[in-house]
Amino acid sequence: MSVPPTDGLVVVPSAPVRRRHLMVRLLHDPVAVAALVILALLAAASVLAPVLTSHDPIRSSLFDTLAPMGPDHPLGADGVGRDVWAQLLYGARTSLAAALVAVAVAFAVGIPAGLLGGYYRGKADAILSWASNFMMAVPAIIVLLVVMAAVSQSTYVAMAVLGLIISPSVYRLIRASVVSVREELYVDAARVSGLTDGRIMRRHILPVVQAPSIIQAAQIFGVAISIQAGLAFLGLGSPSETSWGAMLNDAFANIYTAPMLLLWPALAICLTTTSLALLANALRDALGGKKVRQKSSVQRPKTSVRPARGAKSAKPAVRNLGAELLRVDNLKVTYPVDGGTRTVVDGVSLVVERGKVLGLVGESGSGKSQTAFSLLGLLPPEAGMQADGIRFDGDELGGLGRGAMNRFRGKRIAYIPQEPMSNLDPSFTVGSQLVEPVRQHLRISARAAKAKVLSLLERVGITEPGRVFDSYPHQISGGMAQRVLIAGAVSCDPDLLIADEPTTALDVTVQAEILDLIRSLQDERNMGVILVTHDFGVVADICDRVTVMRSGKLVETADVAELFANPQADYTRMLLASTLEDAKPRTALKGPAVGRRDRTA
Amino acid sequence: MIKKLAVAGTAVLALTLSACGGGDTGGTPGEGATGGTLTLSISQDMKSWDLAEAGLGHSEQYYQPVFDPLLRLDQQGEVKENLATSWTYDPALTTLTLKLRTDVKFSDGSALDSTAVKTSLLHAKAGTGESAAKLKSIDDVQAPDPSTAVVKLTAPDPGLLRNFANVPGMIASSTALTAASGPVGSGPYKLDASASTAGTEYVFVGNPDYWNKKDFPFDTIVMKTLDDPTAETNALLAGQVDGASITPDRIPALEGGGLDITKFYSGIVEGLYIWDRAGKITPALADVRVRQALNYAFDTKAIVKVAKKGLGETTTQHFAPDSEAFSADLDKKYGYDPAKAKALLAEAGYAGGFDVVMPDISTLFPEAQAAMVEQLGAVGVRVQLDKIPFSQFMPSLLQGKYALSYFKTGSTDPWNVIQLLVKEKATWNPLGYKDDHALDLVNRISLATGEEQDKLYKELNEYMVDQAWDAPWNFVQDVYASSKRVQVTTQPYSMLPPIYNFKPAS
Amino acid sequence: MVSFLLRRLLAGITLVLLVASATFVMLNFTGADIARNIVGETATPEQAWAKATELGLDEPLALRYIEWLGATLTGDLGKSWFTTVPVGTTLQTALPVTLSIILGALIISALVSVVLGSLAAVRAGWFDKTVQFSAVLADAVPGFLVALALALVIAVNFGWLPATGYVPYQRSVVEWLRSITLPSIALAFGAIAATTLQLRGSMFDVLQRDYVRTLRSRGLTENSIVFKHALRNAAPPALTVLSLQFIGLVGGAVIVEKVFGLRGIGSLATAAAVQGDAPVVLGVVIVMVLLVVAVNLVADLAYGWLNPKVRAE
Repeated sequence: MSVPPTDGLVVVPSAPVRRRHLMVRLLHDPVAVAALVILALLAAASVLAPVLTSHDPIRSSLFDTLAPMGPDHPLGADGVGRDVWAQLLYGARTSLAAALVAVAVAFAVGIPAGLLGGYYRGKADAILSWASNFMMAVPAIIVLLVVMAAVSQSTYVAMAVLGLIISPSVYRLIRASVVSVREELYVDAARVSGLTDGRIMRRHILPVVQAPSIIQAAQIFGVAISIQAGLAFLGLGSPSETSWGAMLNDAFANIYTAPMLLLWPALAICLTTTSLALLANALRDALGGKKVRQKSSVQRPKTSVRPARGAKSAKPAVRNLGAELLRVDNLKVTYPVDGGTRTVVDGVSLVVERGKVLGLVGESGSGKSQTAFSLLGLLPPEAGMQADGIRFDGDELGGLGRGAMNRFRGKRIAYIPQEPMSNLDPSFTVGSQLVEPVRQHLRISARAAKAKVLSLLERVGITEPGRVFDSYPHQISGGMAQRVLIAGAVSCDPDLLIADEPTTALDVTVQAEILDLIRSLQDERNMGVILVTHDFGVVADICDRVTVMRSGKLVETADVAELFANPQADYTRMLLASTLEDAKPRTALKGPAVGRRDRTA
Repeated sequence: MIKKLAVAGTAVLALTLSACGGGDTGGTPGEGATGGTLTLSISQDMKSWDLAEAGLGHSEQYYQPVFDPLLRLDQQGEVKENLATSWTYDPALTTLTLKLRTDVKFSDGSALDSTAVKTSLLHAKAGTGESAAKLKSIDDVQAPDPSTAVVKLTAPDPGLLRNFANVPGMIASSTALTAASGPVGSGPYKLDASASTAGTEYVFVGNPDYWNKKDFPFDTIVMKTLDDPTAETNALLAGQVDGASITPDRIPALEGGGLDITKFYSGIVEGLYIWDRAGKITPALADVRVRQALNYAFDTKAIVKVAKKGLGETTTQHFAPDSEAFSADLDKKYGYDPAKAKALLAEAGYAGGFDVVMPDISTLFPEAQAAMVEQLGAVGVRVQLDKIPFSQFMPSLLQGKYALSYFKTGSTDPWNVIQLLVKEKATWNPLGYKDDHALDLVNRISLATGEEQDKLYKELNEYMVDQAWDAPWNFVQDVYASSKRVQVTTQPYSMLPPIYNFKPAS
Repeated sequence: MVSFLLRRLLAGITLVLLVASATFVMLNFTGADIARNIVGETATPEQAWAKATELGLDEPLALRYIEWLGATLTGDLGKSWFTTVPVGTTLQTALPVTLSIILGALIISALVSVVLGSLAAVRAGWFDKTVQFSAVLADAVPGFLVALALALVIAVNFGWLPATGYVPYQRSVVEWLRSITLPSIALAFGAIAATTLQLRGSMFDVLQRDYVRTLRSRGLTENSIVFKHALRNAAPPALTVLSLQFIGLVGGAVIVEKVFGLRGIGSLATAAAVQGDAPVVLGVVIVMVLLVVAVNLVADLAYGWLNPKVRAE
């Protein structure tokens, strides 16, 4: 398919380059920058605590108990007369350091385990996966309760235990990354060139897991901070240790007399966890490419159609049998790319007549599928579409919204996709997917719809319609799936059928049968057809007229016989030549389907 | 953005706290001169319905609906009749003869007679609960006739009558001593087991056969266990409970929420308790001048004002103002005088101060610990905090691990104080400190009565203060919050108002 | 299928035993002083010692472990050291409380995240951004703050719902619902965030699939495409996240129960852990891990049910 490549869901592991990109991208994201600044400030504040306050965070002064904010205590004093500002600063040390302990333990356990399991697989992997599944089912807070009540009230101990409990998440991440990288070619190459496993891991695998690990670390850090707060709320933890949790502890005791005491540590905790979460989010976005942001900046295809020029603007009142079914004028499709737009269809005009087959030919990337999608209103949301007119049987289609388009789609204009298996909803039975549009468009009972679908299935050459009706897509073969999709397309007797390379994904033997099926259905229902293909053999077999496209532009349009006999453009000639060289026996034998033209003329 | 949100959040919080007058709708308890439901919240769960394991203090209310005690205290703290209509001691003060009401039956239908009293008391005495500890002086109980019970004591026990007016004097049916399938008593209410959930909520319904129904106007009593102070406060504010003991910091919020606040003393004394007067662990403490120095070191007025939010009465003694042993003059004995404290320490040879180890109690009593460490440090006593899980606080003190620590305990009844603190085997004499003069006084108190006994109590009190046994700070003031639907009267010698002190607001 | 269930069950039981055994050993660190706490401060040292002997605390750890293991395997969880109430009985009253609020939270988070996640994936633009940002915030705010705010504003200030306590559904279904509403919402908060983000992500992926385009080409309504086809395909990963959230909810219940004064598994665990009531702690741990195992199993089964390929195998 020719959707322009958006910069990848797939993490391409060319580590150094991508890392630079990542950093740059991150710095272009204001949210990420804000989060980084806040985290840096928090860290700096904790390190610079002695500079920022002259108070000793643990020294309590009876007369300062619950002192209000003032010159002596910028944020007041807590329930036992300790300076809140000093506690906040020094508390950051304990809280952040303890959270780091959790992160460190999680990674110290998770990384080696993940490398081991992912790289060597086998028994080690089985055991480790088993152990990680075990750990994942342990309710962390209960274990922490027991540890803190029975073993030690130190925040650091608690966080180390948390790190251990949480380490399976690191293990899973590292393992998954390693498994995928291990299959990469350059790792094979490295192995062949005699690098040791250790060096391969260090040189090739660690760099790849770096970025996802940073995200994971940020998340664990946030969880650790939250858990500290939760433990403090439960009255565990050691209040004589200066930490945000201990501050919360004190604040809870004074919640009705000095609720402001709750504000500061809660604010510090929320700031930290939120910044970490936003940073992780931004990192993920940066890794996952622009996909998400594109989606959110454009709501639906930007479609604009200028009023069709000329005499044809008057709308014919009746269906003009045998005449022009679809006219497209000057169609243009664009996609946003970094810093601009890329035009994938540029000024294409075409006409389909009722009962005739138009072949849309070109190499992949020539914009033929994009042209097909734009006629159906199926372009992805970020795409932009313009045309001087898209006139279907007297109605202007350009600029129609989803609801309005649905009056045509499925009912009067139908679509057969290229890849049969990925075009059936895997979660529903074949039957239910076929029945739904039939019921919607034809407004008939479920029983009538089922009967219609069963007869359709039989019509498209499925020998056991009942079984296929009840089957899920994964239970049927590709050829059968394509028959199902064809049945779906013609189920509401459309006037126009758009088939996007309907046979490319199929076995050669099945290809011919499917083409025959389309041809016979077209014949029997007198449909206009746009057949998108790169195969001149198919064109010769089935089409009346041909439009050749290249790089989004129209190269030439002609009747089939005319084109084969006397191609005008060099490009067409070149295409024809290359087709004939490896022509399939079937098309070579049959040649241009002249007889058919006679019949429909 | 985030900051704004958080500030707004706190503003909401603060607003809510100061303006929670509107929360009077969620309550279920009924009103009226009689009848209706009384819902009380208690901060700790009850331990067992078995009187042998029963607790005191905050647990007392749980037992009051089901079990009736032998005696009762009036609102001045005087002992009055209840199940027993009269009581007399022999001259040696070791035989107590009780005359019992003859018209009382347990809720299982069996009669409450002297045999039942004997069985119940002897069963309770054998237990390990706090209540059982108050019965240790009982040697035997005899039942010469159904309406006469004779309690034989191993030694005179001046506190026994008041204890008989509380949980230790409660009588359980002989058929259900261990209360394995629920409590069976003769009290004004019966436990509705089907409506109760252990550990959460106990529902008591009126006992139609009770002999003294006029003192218990409510049809139903519900006791909720709410061990989280915030949840308890919210329950009070939302009108879900009619009464609960609260901590002082909740007073403004609860008063603002339209609840009545009652303050009272229950005889608890808090301060620095010196367990090691013999100097076994910290030799310095054997010197009376050192112990006196510790008394001078504390600015108790400031502690009460700031750390206790003004709730409390500074003191130097262990005996409550309500008790026979109290002497107002003694409270003037030590004032806040750090210079004098240092001088005394120097005199005792500790000019450079000394080191002590104490359990870290910042989880349980943060303010107290902060004040203590700060003020001791000011006179040169360097406190090292020993971090222990807080569940180990009590056991470690009881085992005598620490020479001194912050603590609070006490009783309005002077004999109970002696039992708690003074006797060689007293619970809170963990290092077994033995002072012959004090013990002689104790012995003489137990054998005396009336004014002579009062004089001896005062003498003991004065001796303990002079010898600086401990460094008390203040009598703890307890606070009880109650809804406008009920009237509450506090009761001397009780940490929580007993249920017969609750009346519906008319 | 049966062998799959059996294997999972066996693994689950092993997990329960492992976690409980680790807890058993850890609790031992508290030391034998526990007997002193049990009998109370007024008891004599002899009574404390008698209690220790009665509970077998004087026996070596290994022996006690074997005894405990034997009893546990026969389903005997013992009695609370402090209240002598059988642990099974205590759990029976505490479990419905916790299950009620967790179930409530799961339902709330499933409903809210389906609506928010789907709309965010479809609508995009400012709505999507707001949902994403709110989810990050909601996930970052400590749970107790949410719970406290709900209790103070909704229950105390407005008196719309009870501030504390749990009413068993057997007593009154309406009161039961009222009593669990606020705790469930408080508990659901974080789970909603995570599940919404997951659902938004997988919805987004599904909506880009070929078959969605083909369904669109058939002229199906947007509602059918989003809430029938896309949601059905996006549900399995979201379900997995929701089942992982369950463990988090169990932890969150500890905090929420405290705020709302509920005597559930969480507050039971806190109280027992602080007291050192080993049989209760162990009972709670066993029940909690069993719950997690059961929920994971249910999630797996539901995953299979939602995914025809897995179902067919």
